[in-house]
Amino acid sequence: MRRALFAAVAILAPVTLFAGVFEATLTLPVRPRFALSEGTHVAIAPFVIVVAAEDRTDRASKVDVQMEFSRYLKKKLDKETKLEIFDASSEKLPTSDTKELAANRDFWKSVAARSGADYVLSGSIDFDVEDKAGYKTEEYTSPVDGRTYYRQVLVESTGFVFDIVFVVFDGDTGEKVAEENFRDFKQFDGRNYDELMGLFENLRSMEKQILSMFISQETTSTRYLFD
Amino acid sequence: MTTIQHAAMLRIGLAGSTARLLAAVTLVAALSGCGTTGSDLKTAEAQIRIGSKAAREGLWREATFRYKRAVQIEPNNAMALSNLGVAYESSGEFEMAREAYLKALQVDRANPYIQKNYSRFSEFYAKFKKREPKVLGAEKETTP
Repeated sequence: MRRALFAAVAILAPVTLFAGVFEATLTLPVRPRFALSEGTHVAIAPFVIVVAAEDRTDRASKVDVQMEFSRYLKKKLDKETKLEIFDASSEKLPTSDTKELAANRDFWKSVAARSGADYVLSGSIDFDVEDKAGYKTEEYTSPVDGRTYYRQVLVESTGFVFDIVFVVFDGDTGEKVAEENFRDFKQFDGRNYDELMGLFENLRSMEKQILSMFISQETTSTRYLFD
Repeated sequence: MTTIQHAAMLRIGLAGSTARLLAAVTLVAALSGCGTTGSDLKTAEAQIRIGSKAAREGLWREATFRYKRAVQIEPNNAMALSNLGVAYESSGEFEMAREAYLKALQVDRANPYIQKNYSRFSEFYAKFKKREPKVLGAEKETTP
């Protein structure tokens, strides 16, 4: 009798713990990295492509990362922010050394002056595509004898790496005022996954992070509420 | 049956029209759903229940009001304090939320739900505070 009572209490205890409690999802703000006032003029200058075309894998060099990224960034910032965005991607960078470039205030001042921008957005991009192949052990149930065996299977995949450093320069002084780094890796089954699609998959997954530099974003989180 | 349910039944009997019947049934159903009567509203439990019903519907202002009332009625009700913390969070009043959670923990430190709420809130709030936006060109005039 006593045992049965203990058993009943043990079964009921978790129920009591959970009774009258439910989870609520809250939408919480994520503040922007940089606070730029509405209507601020921002020019998108070229980005340094970190790995030279000849050193990149053949597949990565098929994509004009510079052009595709500038176009994507302008479109996104135009649509999602209240900033005035100018395309300055046709500017010629004086060097591909990122440190030297960041220190070249005169260059950034001149870019800002030519485009009429308050700030110039630039930085560096590292994009690469890797075809991968390897063996993986998997379980296999034979249809003949119904027994489970282990076998080695060849797995092929394509990996896309996109690493970007954003740098914001003050148009008046040419000084570097802010810097932010994002990285994304995507892997897809099979070789020869389309390079451009891969690039856009990277950009899509970094979109929130990129936009969060300039505008407030939202995140969700759950909390417990008592009834 | 509660006084309000009685009143509603009486009205149904007197008027007899379908519209009134529907309205009364809805009223009775709503109140019996809450398990709340007029006199019950003076208890913290009833205020919590109504607040949580509002929160389920996403009516956070109403929920905040109800949880505040619950805390006024019972200042040491840990559940009301924790719920109030959540409601404050939902409206972006993070310092108030922190205070409410801390008070809730003072009252009932062993409650796992309050502990989880506070740890999730603390994690979020630390990131939120750390990500103070860098104000660029506050003094700069926007290009005409």
